[in-house]
Amino acid sequence: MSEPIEPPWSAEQIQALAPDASSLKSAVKLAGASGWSSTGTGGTPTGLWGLCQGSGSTPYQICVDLTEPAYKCSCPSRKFPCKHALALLLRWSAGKVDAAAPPQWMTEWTTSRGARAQKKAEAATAPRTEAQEKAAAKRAAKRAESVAGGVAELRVWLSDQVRHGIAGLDQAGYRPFEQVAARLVDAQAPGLAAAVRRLAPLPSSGSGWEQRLLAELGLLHLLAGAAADADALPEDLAVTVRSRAGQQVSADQVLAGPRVRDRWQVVGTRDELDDKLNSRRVWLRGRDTGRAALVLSFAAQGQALPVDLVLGTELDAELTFYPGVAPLRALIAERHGAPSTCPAPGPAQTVAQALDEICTALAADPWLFSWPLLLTGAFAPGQPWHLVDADGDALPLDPSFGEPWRLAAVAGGEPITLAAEWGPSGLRPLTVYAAGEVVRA
Amino acid sequence: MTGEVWNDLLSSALVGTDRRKAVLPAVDGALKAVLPVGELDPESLLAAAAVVTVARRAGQQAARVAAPVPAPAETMPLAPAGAQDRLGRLLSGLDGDLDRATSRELAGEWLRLAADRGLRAAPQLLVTLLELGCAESSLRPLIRAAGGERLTWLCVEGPGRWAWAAESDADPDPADWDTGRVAERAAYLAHLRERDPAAGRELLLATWPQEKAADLAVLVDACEAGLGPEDEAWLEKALDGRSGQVREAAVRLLAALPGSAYRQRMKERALAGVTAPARGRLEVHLPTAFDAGMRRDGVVEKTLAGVGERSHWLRQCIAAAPLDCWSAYGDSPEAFLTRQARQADDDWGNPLRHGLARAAIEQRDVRWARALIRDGFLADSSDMYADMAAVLPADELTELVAGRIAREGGASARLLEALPQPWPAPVCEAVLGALGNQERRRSGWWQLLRQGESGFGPQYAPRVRALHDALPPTDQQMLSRFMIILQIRHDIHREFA
Repeated sequence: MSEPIEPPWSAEQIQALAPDASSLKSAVKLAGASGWSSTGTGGTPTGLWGLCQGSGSTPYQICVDLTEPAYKCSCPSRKFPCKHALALLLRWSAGKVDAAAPPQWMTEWTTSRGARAQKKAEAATAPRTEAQEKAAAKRAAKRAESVAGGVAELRVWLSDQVRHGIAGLDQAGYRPFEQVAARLVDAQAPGLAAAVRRLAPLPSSGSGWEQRLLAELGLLHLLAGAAADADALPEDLAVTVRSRAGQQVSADQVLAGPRVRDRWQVVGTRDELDDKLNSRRVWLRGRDTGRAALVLSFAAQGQALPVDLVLGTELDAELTFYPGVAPLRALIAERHGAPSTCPAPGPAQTVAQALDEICTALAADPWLFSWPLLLTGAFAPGQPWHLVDADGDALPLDPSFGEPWRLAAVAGGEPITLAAEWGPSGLRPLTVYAAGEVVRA
Repeated sequence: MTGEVWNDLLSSALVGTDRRKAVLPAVDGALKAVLPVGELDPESLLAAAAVVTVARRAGQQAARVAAPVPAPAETMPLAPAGAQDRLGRLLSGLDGDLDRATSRELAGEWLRLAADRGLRAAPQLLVTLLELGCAESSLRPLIRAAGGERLTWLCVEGPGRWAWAAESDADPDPADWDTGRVAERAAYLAHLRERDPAAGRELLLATWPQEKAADLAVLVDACEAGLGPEDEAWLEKALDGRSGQVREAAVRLLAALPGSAYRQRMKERALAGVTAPARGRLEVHLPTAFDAGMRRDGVVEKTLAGVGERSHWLRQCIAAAPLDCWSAYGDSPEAFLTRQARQADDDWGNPLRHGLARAAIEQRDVRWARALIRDGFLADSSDMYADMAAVLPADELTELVAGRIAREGGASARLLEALPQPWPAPVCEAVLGALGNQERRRSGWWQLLRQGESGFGPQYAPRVRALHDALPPTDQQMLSRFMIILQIRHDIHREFA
């Protein structure tokens, strides 16, 4: 694994690593500045290092592990990665960093990281004591009781909406939904609370809102009913229902599950910045298994999201999926080597194959409101726009995505590979692959 | 089938099950086992809504849509990858801490370089470029040049506001004359005048009585193309009209017609205002009244504060008179100016020289411009001085500007506008010298730096960086924007190499 990574990542990929726009701006400036020395790439695992003269007397030491990637810089910045690490990556991307043998300070860092990772793994596999087991069981029982109370209230609220009529809800604002959602948060059912919050914007979503609202009320009713009696369901379905209600499976449990090794292609990333919590969604597609996976990560406001998966790369790794009837969310259990670029992901689907996949997924999990696809086809403008494949079969694009002229310009009316999220209102493009270019939607 | 069921469910849910109950008939097919039957209470209505929703989503059928029109194959190569990244950053404002206007200027430079080399911008940047062209029409020709076939395809397929990108620079459409906006009509007229001045003239004169004065002024201006002696008659007639705007436009054209009666009239007024009764002396006689003839010839009656009305009238006449009319008063411009300078009573020197300077600028007369600049009289009236300097041959201009910057530093920054860009080496050296001069900093620095951003050739980036690094920290701050912009321009050029 001491081979340098060729070709280096594109500047666009490195942009995706920046915790915010100002870090990136500073990094672009810094990358073009003088004051760099002892830069190099290589080692095991493949790394990148350099010295950058800052405002102090000694230059900052920057270490990057390109396999995850992970970063270290001796600067005092709390941004992560800091502008120095980003600037070093940008220089690498621009071909300004040559292969070399790592200096001692670089190998020290990689060795200590390896040791820490091993310690953590040992701690995770240590069995729990009897007392711990007991306390956990007690917490679970209490929680189940609380959730049951919330579910019962939700069912009454849902029935009341239909009993009194939903026609006036477009005048009522978010408040009726927010009250129920808050109650469900108290009842430790955050998943149901989030589902209720997703209803709130529907009454103001324009023509046809009544249809969309009734559909979602019905599905929520179905979910509440299932959650009230989850134990009676088949095990996989029960897990799906519980997780949709908000009962999380722990990462340790997930990591202990069966592993799926593949060359996982990063076909989409999207950040959502919230008041309190920033989240990053990364969509993967297995080159050999054709399986879709979604890796979610969260960070409190002001902290950077983990940036270990870069759009347009592929990674030989073992994934473990969160349990359920239509497993999608996953964790990376183990990596095998550094990521490499992936300008043409596969296998791409026809529209008919994609519809089959959605049908299968919905049959298992009727509450699915999005599912990632990797399609081939051409963008056809219209109201709405479509992606039309070689057979003339087409899927509409979600009108709320806007007119995708930028993507259409890349495609030029020719068939391209499109990574997109399917949803009830249509496809929401994530990434376009055309003629070797990877273009974020 | 789900449609009917759904409508029943919806109409009950809208007003409430208390007011209208949904009654579902028994259905056959896949949903038979899961859809409730009969009168629905709220719970069963919601359950039925869930069933229909899942059935519809899972049963989604492919739409049948015609394949889109493919874009024609490109004939121009793409600009190099590094250059594409740069343009993307300039367009998204990610390059350094540049303001939007500067980013746009630099994007303009990028497009010029691409156009010179016959390279095109990446397809993913074209929509941003099209939107930029909507806002910034001066960039449109460059955007068209760098857009390749894909740009033309996009603006044919895309929203109407991009239609400008499909317009060719070739023949304007004759229909523009009848239905276009005034700018399009003027463009058509100018195009016609270039090939057939008489036809253009007749086209304009045929609609003359129906045109609005503001439009007429623009259309008359357009007749500058193909201007010739045959145009004098109708332009003279235009002077008789009531509109001041139209008169102004007509006067501009008549002034450009050698030997026109208008120029003759202005010459007579000028010579009447400046006489040489005795050897070595000039006498100035200001017009006593503003007459109808002056008004007809576009002389402006009202004056600015601080300038006498009568001298203002004379100045305009001198400015419009052909410069060769002064040969009777001296063998050369220098002789004329010396004569004038010897006059004891110099009150009228100012309007006289302002008029002459304006004439030298308008008539692009090198001899007069050179003489007036050497004379030094207008050196502080910097706008006109710079305009006169621009009349000089390139070598002389370079020497003049470099010399003044070296002597006066930023105080002469306005002169830099007379130079073509990139500035010649002696001027850049002079500016660098002025910036490095610790004695005479501050005054005019800002103008020097602002103009240097676009005036310096990008190859000066290392020199400017070295100068920046050598300055004390407080001054470095002032220089940093200049340095960054020059560095980016340097990088832009290098990325095309």
